[in-house]
Amino acid sequence: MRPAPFDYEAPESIGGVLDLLEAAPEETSLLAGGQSLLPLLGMRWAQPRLVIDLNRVQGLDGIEDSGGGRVRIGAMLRQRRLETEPLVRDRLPLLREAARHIAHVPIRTRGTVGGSVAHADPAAELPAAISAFGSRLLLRSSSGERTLATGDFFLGSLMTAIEPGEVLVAIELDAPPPGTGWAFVELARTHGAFALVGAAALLGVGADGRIGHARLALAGVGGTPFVPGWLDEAVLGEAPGETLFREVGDRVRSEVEPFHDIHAPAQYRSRLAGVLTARALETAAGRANGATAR
Amino acid sequence: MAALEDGTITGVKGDLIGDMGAAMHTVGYGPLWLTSVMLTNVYEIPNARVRARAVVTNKTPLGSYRGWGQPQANFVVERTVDRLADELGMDRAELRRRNFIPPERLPRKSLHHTLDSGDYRACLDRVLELLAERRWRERQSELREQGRHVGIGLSFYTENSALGPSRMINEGGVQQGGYDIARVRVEPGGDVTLYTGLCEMGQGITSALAQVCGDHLGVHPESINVVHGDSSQVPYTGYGTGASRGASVGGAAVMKASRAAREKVLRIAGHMLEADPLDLETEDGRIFVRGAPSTSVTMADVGRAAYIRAVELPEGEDPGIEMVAAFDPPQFAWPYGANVAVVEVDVETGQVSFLDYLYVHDCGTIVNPMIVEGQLQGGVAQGIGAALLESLPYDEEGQPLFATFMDYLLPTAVELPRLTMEHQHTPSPHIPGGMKGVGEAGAIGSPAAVVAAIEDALAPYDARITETPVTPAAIVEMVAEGERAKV
Repeated sequence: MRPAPFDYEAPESIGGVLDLLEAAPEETSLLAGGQSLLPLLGMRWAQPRLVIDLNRVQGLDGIEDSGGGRVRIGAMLRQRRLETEPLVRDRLPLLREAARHIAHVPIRTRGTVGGSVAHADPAAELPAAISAFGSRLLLRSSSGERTLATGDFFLGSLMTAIEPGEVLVAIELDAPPPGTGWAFVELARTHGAFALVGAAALLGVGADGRIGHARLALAGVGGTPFVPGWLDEAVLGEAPGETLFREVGDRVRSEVEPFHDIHAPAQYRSRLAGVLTARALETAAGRANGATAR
Repeated sequence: MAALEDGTITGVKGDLIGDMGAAMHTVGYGPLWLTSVMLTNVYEIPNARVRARAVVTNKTPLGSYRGWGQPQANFVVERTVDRLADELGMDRAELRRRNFIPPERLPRKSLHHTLDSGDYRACLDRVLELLAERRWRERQSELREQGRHVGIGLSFYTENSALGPSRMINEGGVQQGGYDIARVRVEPGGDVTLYTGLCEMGQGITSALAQVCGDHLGVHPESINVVHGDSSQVPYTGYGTGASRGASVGGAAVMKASRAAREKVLRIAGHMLEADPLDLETEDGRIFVRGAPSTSVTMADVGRAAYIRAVELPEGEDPGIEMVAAFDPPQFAWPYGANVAVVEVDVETGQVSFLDYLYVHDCGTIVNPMIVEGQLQGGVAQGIGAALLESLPYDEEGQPLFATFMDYLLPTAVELPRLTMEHQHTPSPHIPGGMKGVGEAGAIGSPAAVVAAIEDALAPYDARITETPVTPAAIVEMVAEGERAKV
């Protein structure tokens, strides 16, 4: 459990980070909360030459209403703050619920939103949760900034579109309209263990009692968050209900291609994806329009 | 397992294979041996034959773990008894009652060991009373009607504790003793120092030994300094801490040494008070003639006489108060108990949660109830880990797939039930003080009870669970099979 030797830099500005990255874009790891990188270093599964510590960089840990119904979250925002920030509670309650499933409180006080998203563990909560929103990831390099949608950002298990020399600096989420129901449900074998499967749902019900908008994203069922593109077609204009949600769940179950490991076979994860999809949608529907959560 | 139609068990046959791994490790095939001789549990089974084979493989070596082969034996026996009850159409508790060795026939030789004392039936009946008080059977049927899957599981265990008779374990191949030695010193200032070869590892043994010493010496436990863990200071111990022997074997040695020290204290105090030592009484470090507490001497007075002013000693009394005593138990001591688990199974996800957990047990004289409860809580946690989570999988190339705690899952406080616990007290006839061990007890009976409860919850699917851990995936598979069979 001792890392291989590496150089360590702790710049205090994003400019400093970019300069270091430009000089040595390969074999460099960025250290955020250390939730994943430190175990990887300890097990020597990661052996970077240089570790750039982002913890002293100013201005990366904010959260703000960026106007136009958007909320901007700095990459270094600690996961714990997703549970405590009024802005998250009021505008992005799904994110708050997802955060509660991440490991344990002490880990969440270290772990960051950007770290989890950039690490892109297939079982992680936040990549799926942000995929359920319309979200854009802001990447910066010495040559400028670019923005990617979640679908373009997550490429595979532990793989993202971040290029050598780039840093994820912020995530911008479209806050759903007021009255949107939300749910993040997950099953892990023990509290704080990696999720077997997690499901994030957002659901809006119109005055006519019919589904006006819906978003769904799953964790643990493949290399990247699973976001069914057919969801609108399947549920918009329908009345929310168990039968409908089970149909959606069954379709999810038949489409996902999860992996097998010692904690659960792939077939079980597929099944779980269907069950948790239906449950997430049902819970979200129950919370729509200010209805009390069940 | 063979039985008459009335439920009398007539015989048990076992065939065990123990995976020793690639090399004989610290304990060799000891746990496998203990599994083999525990296959009659606390039942009166006239015929038993067990074959145990130790197999060498290319896996990690076998080591000691809480229960030392007994959880495996208990799981097999208790689940087989459940199956037998089902076959006979008998109540599972009633079948156990019918086959318990009755109290009047104890001590009684079992397959290998001699079970010492106890009233198994009283213990089982009490746990069932608790179950009835909480109306779990009724609530189970109500919840079943609501489509929820609630199950109740029962198991009964005994535990091999107080290791151990030195001759017996030497004959069994253990190259060390099973005794314990304690030294008690009353200091010149009247404080007491207790030296033990046992080790405090958080389980509280120093508190328990101080209590035993205080009781028998007549001082408050807080005035006793317990020295442990430094082999240049403490007496030799035959075996050290482990094998559920601290309170019973170490405690008995402390008791003997403390009593000897007390005799000397009273001789000196009697001389000072001009009274017969047999007429003296002690309370909170003061010594006085029974019925006349106003005239007393303190432990400090006695200490001064013993070390500093020999002129105050009785004629012919050696200076100093420092007594050593050894205890080697003539037999093991056998605590026992009943586990009842009440679980709910989410049949869609295979997730198991606990609704209740009842635990009634008897470990003889209890020195410190809080420590006993902590030991049992921890043991049950490990048993639940064994039942639901823990396994050592390898891939086809022989690579272990459990290298970290990300892979090898342990239960956390969130998954564990709050135990409702009751103590019964049948002292061991072999141990001065009557203390039986308790350190491994919780881990022994819990896997069978938890698995029986899951199986009961899955009764609508006719599930039969014969192995652990019972994973969510395995549960979902059993549910699916049950549904297929119904069609």
